[in-house]
Amino acid sequence: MVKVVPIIPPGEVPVDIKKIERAIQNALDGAALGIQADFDTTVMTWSRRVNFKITSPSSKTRVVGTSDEIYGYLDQGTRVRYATMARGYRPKTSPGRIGSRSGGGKVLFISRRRPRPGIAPRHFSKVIHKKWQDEFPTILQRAISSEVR
Amino acid sequence: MKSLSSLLRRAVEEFGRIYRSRIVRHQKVDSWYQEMSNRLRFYHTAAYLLGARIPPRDLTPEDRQRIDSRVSSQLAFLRRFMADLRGGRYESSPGGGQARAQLYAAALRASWWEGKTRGLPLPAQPGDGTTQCISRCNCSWEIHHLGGDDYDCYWRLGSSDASCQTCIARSRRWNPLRIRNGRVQVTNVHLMGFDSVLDGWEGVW
Repeated sequence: MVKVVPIIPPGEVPVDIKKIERAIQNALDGAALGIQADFDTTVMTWSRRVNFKITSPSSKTRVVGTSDEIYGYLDQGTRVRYATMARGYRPKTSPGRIGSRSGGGKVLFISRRRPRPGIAPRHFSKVIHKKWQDEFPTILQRAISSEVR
Repeated sequence: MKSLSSLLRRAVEEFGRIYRSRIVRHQKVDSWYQEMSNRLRFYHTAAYLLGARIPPRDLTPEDRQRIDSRVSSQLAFLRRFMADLRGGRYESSPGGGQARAQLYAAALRASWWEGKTRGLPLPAQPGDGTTQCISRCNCSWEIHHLGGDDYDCYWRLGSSDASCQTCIARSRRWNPLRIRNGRVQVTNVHLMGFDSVLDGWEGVW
């Protein structure tokens, strides 16, 4: 889950506040849309359908995320894993990479009596958050420019 | 786009020539960086002007800020390149260094799109480095002006078969990206899966 919050300096601003407000909203929504598309790439080769939603808990916040439990296990990692994979199994995702590949192999069985080392966290949320945090000034600049054209 | 192609070709040639003259022959990293940063500023401004179809005198301060934003992101990459050159990374393979220098031309595409879509609060531009294909992106924006401040903006995939996953996802999500009354509209459409577009996809990332 990625949360985007702009930092707005206090004090008087000698410009049209309504336009600036609209620019900020556009920048927040633009970043959220970019984040949503990036999340889509992480499940693109999955047979499981995962949907990423953009919500707006307040006018200055956008949250992009999913309620999919399995995705959470991959994103955050787990301490143990109960699935045993076939030899030659290749996961579809890698830690720290935004995207997914075809992968290969299958799950042989799932048993709580055969715990395995946990799932390595992919950190999709962290990596995507960092990427769009760096990109946000450009998006905000573009949104402000569109208001003063 | 024809004018952009010739600008890109010219930039590729010039960035290669600067690399050969400053680095390969004389190992002058500082003067190479200085000349490259000047030429990057020139080319990004030219690409923006071509996209916007305006003469230089019509550039507003906001236009300049958008160009500056693109140039400064490129300069950050250039500084990393400079550090690699100082570390002697391309001493044994000057061709590799020259090819890396010439890659800076590809980023002009994003400035061209910045100019072309001037005045629209879009989340990204083709070739701006936010996709898996980075600056090799051949995608485009198709803008439909519906009147007033209403626009439908379609992220169209490039003609190449090897579109990256980010571009595929954007072409599905931003199909169209709606701007109504000047506000970007967020939609949470549940995508039905990527099976049809991913047939035979081997991956670009």
